[in-house]
Amino acid sequence: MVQQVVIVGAGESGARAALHLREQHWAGDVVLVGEEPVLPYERPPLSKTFLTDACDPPVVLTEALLEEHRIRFIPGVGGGQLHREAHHLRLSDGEILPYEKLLLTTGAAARKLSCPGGDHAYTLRDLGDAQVLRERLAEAPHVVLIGAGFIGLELAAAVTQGGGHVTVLEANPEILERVVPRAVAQVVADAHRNRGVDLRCGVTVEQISKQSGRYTVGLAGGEEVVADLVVAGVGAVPNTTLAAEAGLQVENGVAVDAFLQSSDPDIFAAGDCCSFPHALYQGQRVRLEMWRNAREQAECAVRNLIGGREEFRQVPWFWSDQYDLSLQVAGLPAYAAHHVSRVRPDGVTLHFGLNAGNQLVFAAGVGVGNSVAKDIRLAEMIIGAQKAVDPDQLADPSFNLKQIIRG
Amino acid sequence: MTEWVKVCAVGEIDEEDVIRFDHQDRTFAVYRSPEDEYFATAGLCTHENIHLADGLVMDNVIECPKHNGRFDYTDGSALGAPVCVNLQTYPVKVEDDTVFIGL
Repeated sequence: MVQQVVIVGAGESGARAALHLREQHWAGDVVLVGEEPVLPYERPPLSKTFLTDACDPPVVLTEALLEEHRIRFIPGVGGGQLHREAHHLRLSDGEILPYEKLLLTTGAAARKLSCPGGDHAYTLRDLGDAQVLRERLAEAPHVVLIGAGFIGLELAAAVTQGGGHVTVLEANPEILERVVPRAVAQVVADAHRNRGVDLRCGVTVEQISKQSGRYTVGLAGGEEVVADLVVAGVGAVPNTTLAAEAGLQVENGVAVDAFLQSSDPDIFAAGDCCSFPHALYQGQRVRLEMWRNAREQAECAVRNLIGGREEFRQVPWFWSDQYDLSLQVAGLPAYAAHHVSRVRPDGVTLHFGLNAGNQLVFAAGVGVGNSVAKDIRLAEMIIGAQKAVDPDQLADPSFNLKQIIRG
Repeated sequence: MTEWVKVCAVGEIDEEDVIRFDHQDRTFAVYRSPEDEYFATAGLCTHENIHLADGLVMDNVIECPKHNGRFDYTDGSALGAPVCVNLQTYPVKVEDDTVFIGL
């Protein structure tokens, strides 16, 4: 059989996988196929400094690295067909890539608005989207953002910092519901409102129309909001077409097991495109859209596809930067049975979620700069250790959380 | 010639922790190890200019608060992806319960 690993999707996960194959001393060929016409780059800056400071996102796999690690990178090729019996991937340009093992890192796509005129709303997912958005924002004094998730809120901050006026329309009664504790969401909401963002919750967008270069967003109840640009941040859907057409099991993403192996033992998946049973959360199937998860799953999948047998059990973790604030979250909030707060001397509050057995399952905080990073990192280690903790110690700011890890 | 600049009193850095130290237009990270020794490195991560002093110190390792790049702060060595460039280190001395960095 051909000694070749083919990686489909050249985002953070695919790029990390290609490098990790070499770090793990895989001697065969590595082919990385990407839809975008550019070298793999970091996506998180696209909703942040790419817009505010006009700085391009860092490239994660340079030409020099590709050459040094003998990685064949095929940019600008999408779609294709996966022939599992023949063990090859047929690209949309007709080239046939045989594989011994294949890794799907196809990511996720921005969900489109389903209301009439929903096509008028721009979305942000990749560098091409961000470039278009940056140009359009420069000539748009008033922007309507639909959806107060992390992309929407980071965009709201970027536009506001650039001197634009923003209206955010959120269908739920609160922002970031089910993602962070209400107190954290409140700090974020206040940060936006104090800077002049018109943040409106509990409003439903019914239609969008465009007339002579301006957009009218019609809300339930009849109110209309006029804007120079409309952007939707209403979530993402996993890219599973290739997997589904090849008959792989799909369940809110390419369904993989705890070893990140799909229903075909020679095909693995990692990152935003896959759902997996999380060993730290009673094996519940989850799909994560997080930068670090994309990297850690890529590494785990690589070690398994070259012969390892390692359960993926990293603690979910992400951050969001808005203005001078950074929010960090570790774990999953849905598994908490009760909550504890820790108020630090500097006024920052950390929020912890514990299950019925007093194991830490979730932690979140927001503060200026990276001021919550140390505590959330420690919380993440405590979550991963699955040890029962004393809630009073968590709540006591004079108690050093390192003692729980070392104890 | 090394210029010794006062950073802080010894008690101002917790054991197994780090503080940020700005001097003129430069920024540094100054560490106190679990063995009660002091070290100093450049203040910014070599990956994306994040202040390392907001990161977690465990044993001899500082971890960047944003992308988890890890360095051995005793010699500045980068410990793996996403960081691949070592940190500049600086000499540190303690005199009269005061920590000095050598620039």
